[in-house]
Formats: sequence, C-alpha cells, structure tokens
Amino acid sequence: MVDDELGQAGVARIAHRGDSPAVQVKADGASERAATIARGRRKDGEAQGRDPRHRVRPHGAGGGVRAACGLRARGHRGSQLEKTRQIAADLGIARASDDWRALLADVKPDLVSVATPAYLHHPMMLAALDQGAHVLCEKPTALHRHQAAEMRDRAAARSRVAAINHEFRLLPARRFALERVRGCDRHAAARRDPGALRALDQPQSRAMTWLADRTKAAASSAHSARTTRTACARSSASRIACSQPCGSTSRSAACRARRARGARPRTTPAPFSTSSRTARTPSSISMPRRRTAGSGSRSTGAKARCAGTKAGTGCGSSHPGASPRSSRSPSPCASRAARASRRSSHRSR
Amino acid sequence: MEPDFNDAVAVQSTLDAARLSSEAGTWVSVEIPEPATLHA
Repeated sequence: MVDDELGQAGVARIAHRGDSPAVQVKADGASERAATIARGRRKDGEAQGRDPRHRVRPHGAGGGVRAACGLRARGHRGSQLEKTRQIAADLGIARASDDWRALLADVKPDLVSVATPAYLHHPMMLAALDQGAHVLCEKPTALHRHQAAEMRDRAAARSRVAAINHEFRLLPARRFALERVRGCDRHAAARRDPGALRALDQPQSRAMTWLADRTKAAASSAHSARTTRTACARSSASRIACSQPCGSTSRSAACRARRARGARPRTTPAPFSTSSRTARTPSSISMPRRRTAGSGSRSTGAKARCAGTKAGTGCGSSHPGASPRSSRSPSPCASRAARASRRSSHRSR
Repeated sequence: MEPDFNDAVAVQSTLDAARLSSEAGTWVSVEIPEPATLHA
C-alpha cells in the first residue's frame, strides 16, 4: 500500500516505527531535497496512513518541500505572498497565504510540514499539534532545548507523530561519529587512536564520495564533514569546546595566530539565558580551562623551549612536549629531573 | 539516530551546550531535558 502510494515520487527509504511508520521519500528532482512524511493513526483507530488524499500543508514558500507521494497538499504558506501563490499554482494547491495561523484554522490539515526559519518551528508545531495534525519539522529543531522538549512533550500529549528531518543521519561519517560517542570510547580519537578521525575523510561508499569532494559538493557539504570530524573529536574527548576567535569550527593556523594575539572569542547573542536552571555557571565547572593567549608560543609557529615547572628544572630544549614557563603541566624533562631527585634522596637515606 | 523528537531534543541540547561553551570559554556538560510526565 505504501509502495503504491509512493511509486510516482520515488521511494528513497521506508522505516517503520511501531504503529506509526515514518516514510522518507525523495522530493522532485528539480529541488533535490528529501521530504519525510510521517504517518500515524488516530486514537479511534482510523487508518490515517492509508488515505491517499491526506490534506497536507507545508509551511515555507521556498519550494523545497514538494512531497507528492499520494498525499494531497491543501494549503501553502510563505512569507512572500506572490511567490507563495505562484508555487501553490504550480503544485496545484488550492490555498496560499502568508498568514499561517489563519491557514491552519481554515484548512485543518492532517499533516503539517514545517520548513521555515528555526524561530518559527516552535509556535507553528505547537499550533499544528493542538489542532490534531501530525508534524514534520525541519532542522534545526528549535532555538534551544527547552523549546524542543516542549514540542516533544506536546506531541506525546496529543498522541501525534512528530518527526524531524535530521540531515545526513545515514552518512557514514556521522554514523561513525555516533558510534564513537555512544560506545563511550572517549579519548580514543584524541589520544589512543588519532588515525580514527582521519578515517572520516576517507570515503568508503559512493554516497560519501561526492560529499567529501569539495569540487563537487561545494563548501556546505565539505564543511559538514569537517564539522562532523571536529564534533567527533570534541565529543570523544568528553568535552564540548569551541571558542575560536574567528568563529570557525576548524583550528586553522590563522585562527591560532589570532588566539595567540589575544583576540577575544566572537560573541553572539544567546537565545537562552546562561543562568537558566539547567545551565552551569563557569565557576561551578571543575574541568580544566583551555589555554589562553600568552601561553601560546606554539600557536605562533615558534618551538616552545622547556622551562620546567620550577626554576632550574627546565632543560631549555625544544623537545616534544616542552612546556613554556606559564604552563601548569610539568614537562617530561622536568618530571624526569624530579624523579631522579627523589631516587637520589631515597638512596642517601 | 532516529527522526523522532527524542533524538531531536538530544541534538538540540548538544547545540546549546556547544553555544554555551563557546561563550563561557569552558567545558560544559550536555543536559537533556527529561520527558514530561503525562497525567491521565
């Protein structure tokens, strides 16, 4: 039944989750974007997923979500009314509006696809759920986790299907990163297995090939792979830290040089308060702070000279692991000197 | 990772922690809000 309905659109993937099969289909080839259609059942047992004339109302006038798959789009909302009307006319959608609340009350859809800027996801999804519609929401989920949790809880309270369009969740690189994090294999990527992260740049499937190729995937996909690698490294090291002065996710030489000059991290307005009930203040965090400007002679490219932890304990060479005087951790040669001193004092006793 | 909102909340919580860490310049923990208890 599902295959017949989706035959014209081209099925990319079908996944069943209990009584609510989540069906992922490929949108039309022109936009090359995928749309996920979540189907569910009403409380009274009516099989909603088997009606090929579902009323669908996508939010967003970009034209990216054009799910055919046997569903009938009943309304289309966009911020630009003329463009919205044109898209609705092209897709054969009867209603087009720039007022999503009025359209939602007028159409009363069974399924709402929210493909709008992130700040609209929360109010649109809650309104759709309150009206009894299932919702497919684009990523990012919301502005912060409390909104996302409210959306999740509202869908559960209304017994509606709520689906999210995670990007590239089946990408080998992201699955690799996820397995690393879930496997509690912390520190492996950062210490014991430094080659593991490099594996993310080595595609092992055809799907990964063009995504890892900058000449074919442009900056966005290449950046996604790089971001995934960086996130994997940070998660594997049991920490999340990103305060690059330039705002970049990669620690480039230019970025390190800016940090060495003492550039302050770029600040962006936070959509949530750092003093919220679940946020932890910096003073309550017992984890060590990262290196700051002033201690970064390594950042500028110059080799650090070992100064030891006490006066006279440094060897002055630039051996691996040599620490400048401001560093808190003892250098290898300083540790060796301390051990030799302890041994000699023990023998003398 | 599944396309449901349980994982979506976890992803959003991670993004929040990354943002908070960037602003505070320290390590932070990822705290995921628990599902609300439904009262019959």
